[in-house]
Amino acid sequence: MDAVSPVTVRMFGLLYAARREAGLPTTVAVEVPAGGTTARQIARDLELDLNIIEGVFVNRTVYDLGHRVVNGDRIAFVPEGTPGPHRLFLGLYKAGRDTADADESGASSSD
Amino acid sequence: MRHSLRVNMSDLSVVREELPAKWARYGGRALTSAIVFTEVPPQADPLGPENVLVVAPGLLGGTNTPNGGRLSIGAKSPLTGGIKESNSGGQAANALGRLGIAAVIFTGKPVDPHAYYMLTIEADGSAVLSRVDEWAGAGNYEVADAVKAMRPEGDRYSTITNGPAGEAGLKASGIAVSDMKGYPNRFAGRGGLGAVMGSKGLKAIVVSDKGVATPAHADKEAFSAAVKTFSAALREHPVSGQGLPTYGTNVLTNILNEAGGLPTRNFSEGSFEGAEATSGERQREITLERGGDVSHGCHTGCVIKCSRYWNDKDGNYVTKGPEYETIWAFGADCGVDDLDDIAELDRICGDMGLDTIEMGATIGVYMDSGAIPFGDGKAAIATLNSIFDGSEPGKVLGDGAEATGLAFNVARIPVVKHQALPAYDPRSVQGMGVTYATSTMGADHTAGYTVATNILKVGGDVDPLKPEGQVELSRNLQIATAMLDAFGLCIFVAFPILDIPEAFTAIHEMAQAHTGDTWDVDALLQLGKETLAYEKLFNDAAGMGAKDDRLPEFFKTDALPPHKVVFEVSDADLDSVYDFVPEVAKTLGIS
Repeated sequence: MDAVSPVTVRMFGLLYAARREAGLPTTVAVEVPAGGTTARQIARDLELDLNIIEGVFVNRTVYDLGHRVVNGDRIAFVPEGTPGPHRLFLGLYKAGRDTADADESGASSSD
Repeated sequence: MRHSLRVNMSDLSVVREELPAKWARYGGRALTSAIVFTEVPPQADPLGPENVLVVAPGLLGGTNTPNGGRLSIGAKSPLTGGIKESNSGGQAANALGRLGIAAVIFTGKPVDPHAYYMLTIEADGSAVLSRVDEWAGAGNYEVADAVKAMRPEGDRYSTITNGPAGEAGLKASGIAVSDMKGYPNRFAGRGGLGAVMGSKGLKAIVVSDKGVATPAHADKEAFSAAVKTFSAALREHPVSGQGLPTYGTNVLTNILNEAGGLPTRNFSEGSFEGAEATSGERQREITLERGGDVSHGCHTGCVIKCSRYWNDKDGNYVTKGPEYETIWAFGADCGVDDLDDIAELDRICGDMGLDTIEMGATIGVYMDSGAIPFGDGKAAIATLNSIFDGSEPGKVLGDGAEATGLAFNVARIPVVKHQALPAYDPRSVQGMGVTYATSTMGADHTAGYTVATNILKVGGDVDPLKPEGQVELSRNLQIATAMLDAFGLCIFVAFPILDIPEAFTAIHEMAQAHTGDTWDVDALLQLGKETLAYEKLFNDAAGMGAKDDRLPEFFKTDALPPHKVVFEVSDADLDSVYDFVPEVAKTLGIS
C-alpha cells in the first residue's frame, strides 16, 4: 500500500499564538479521508477558533472554509487582523463570510 | 488659523505666512504636493536652490484625532525625478499641529556649502536657525543626544534629523523623526529626501510644544463625539484592535510567503524558506524573551500601537522593531533569515539615514551580481557600512537599486520611476503591480494598499493572479490613501473605515467639527483626487510619461514560482488609472 502524503497545516497570527500558549505545534500534518474534507472540518478537528478565521490558503491560494482539501495539500489558516485595505469597499468581505456560512448549513462548498 | 513658516536657507530668514485660502482644506500630503507643484519648476535640480522641502502635519495634526499624527515631507525627489511625499510617524506632526503650523517650507541653499543648520521652533511660536557645524557627519542617534543635551530640563520636543547619507546627497537617503521616547527611529524614508534636506544645509529641526494646548475646534462637542466613534472603531476592528497591536506589520511575512507573493532573492522567487524565522509571530516571541517592547504608538494619539522595539541578546535597545517591509528587504529579498542581522541593518540605516526598502532591494541586486552571496547577513552588513567608509562599491550602493544594478550589470532591477519595489511581488499581487507602476511616487506600497483585498479575497471578485478589476481597485485605493495622508491619518485606519461605516463617517465629522467647514464623503474623496492631480501634473511637466508607468520587463516575461505567473495588466489599462485627473485639474484651475 502506498504511503499517504498528509495535509500540511500551518496557523498564523493569533491562531499561532493560541497554539503556542496551549503548548501545541503551529505546523501539523493531518491525514484526511480519500475524498477530502473541508478546511472547516480540519479547523474543527484542530480545535481552532472558527470565529476568528478569515480565510484559508490551500496550495497558496485563499479560499473560504468550505473549500475541499485533499491529502498532499498545503494549507494555512489566516485569522482576522491582517493589514491591508479592506474588502467591504468592494463587497468582498461579506461575500467571503456568506460563502462560509452557506457551507456551514449544508449548501454546496466552493470547490 | 493655521500658518506656515518659510525658511530661506539662502539668506537664513524665517518668515511666518498665512496659509493661502485656497489651501485651507489641505494638510499633510495634499499641502506638500500643492506647494511643490506651485513653487518648484518641474525641471529643477532636486538638490539645487529651486527645490523646496516641505514638512507638513495633516489637517487634523495636533488634535487628539486617533492615529492622526502622521507627518508628510515633500519635495522634488532626487531618486525619482518626480514629486515626492514621504510619510512618517513620530512626534513632530503633533507638535507642529499644536503650534498651528500647517507647513514649514525650506527654500534656497546656503551660500556656505559646509554650513549645517538647526531650525528650532519654540513653544511660543518663535523660530530661529542656528549653526551646528560640529554635527557634520553625525548619525541620527548622536544628533538626538546632542539636541537632548541642549534642551531645558522637562522640555517636551520632537526632532526631525538628517544623517550622513543625506549630507552626502545619496539618492537612498531619508529623514528621521523622533518617537515618543526621543529615539530617531521613525522615518520618511522613500525618495531620497534626506539628500534634499542635506542640500539645504539642514541637519535638524526641533519643535517644542511644551505646555501648548491642542488647537481649538469649531464645534468641540461634535469633535469629541466623532473622536469617540473613531477610536472605538479602531479598537474594535480585528486588524487595528488585534492583529497589528499583537504582531505589528510583520504579521504579513507568513501570509505573503504563503501566497507566493514574498519577493525572494531579488524577485527571483515568490516564497522564502526563512519566512517563519523572520515572521511577525517569531519576532514577537524573541522580542518578549529579550524584554523588549512589543506594542506602543509611534505618535501621540495612536490607539493601534503597532510599533515595537528590538533588543539585542543582552536586552539592550538596538532599533525599532523592524517593520514588515524592512524585514522583507533585508530578509527574504537578500535570502537572510536572521532577525538580529536584519535589525542591525535596520539600525545602520536608521542612524545613517538610509531608506531600508531601497537599501534592502539594493543589496539584493548587489547579491544577484554575485559580488556577495545571497543569505549572508554579515556580508550585507559589511556592504551597507561600505557606503560610509569611502570604498567601492559604497558610493554606488547609496544611490539605490537601479544605480547598483546598472553598475554591476544585473539583469533584474526591480524599480519603477527609479525607486525600488517594496515587499509584494506584482506577479502574485497584480493590483499592487498596478499601483507600483502608476503611482506618482514611484514604486510605493503605501500609495494604494491592495494587499488584503488581493490576497485575502475570501470568495471575492478580484483574483490576485489575474488582471481583471485591478485598475479600478488600485485607482480607488490610491485616491483613498492620498486622502488619509492629507489628514495625517495612519494608513492602518483604512481597515476600520472600510469595514465600519461609522468610522468613515467619523473622519468627515472630525474634519467638519474641527474646521467649521462642510465635509462629507464626496469631499474626502475629492481631496484625494486633488492631491493626486497635483502630483500627476507635476510629474508630466517634469518629463514623465506613460513609459514611466510601467513595471520592469522581467515581471512580464519571468514567471514567478510557485504560481508561475507573470504580470498581465495591459499598458492600456495602466494608462487609464489616472483618467480622472484632467477633470479635477480643470476644477482646480491648474494644468
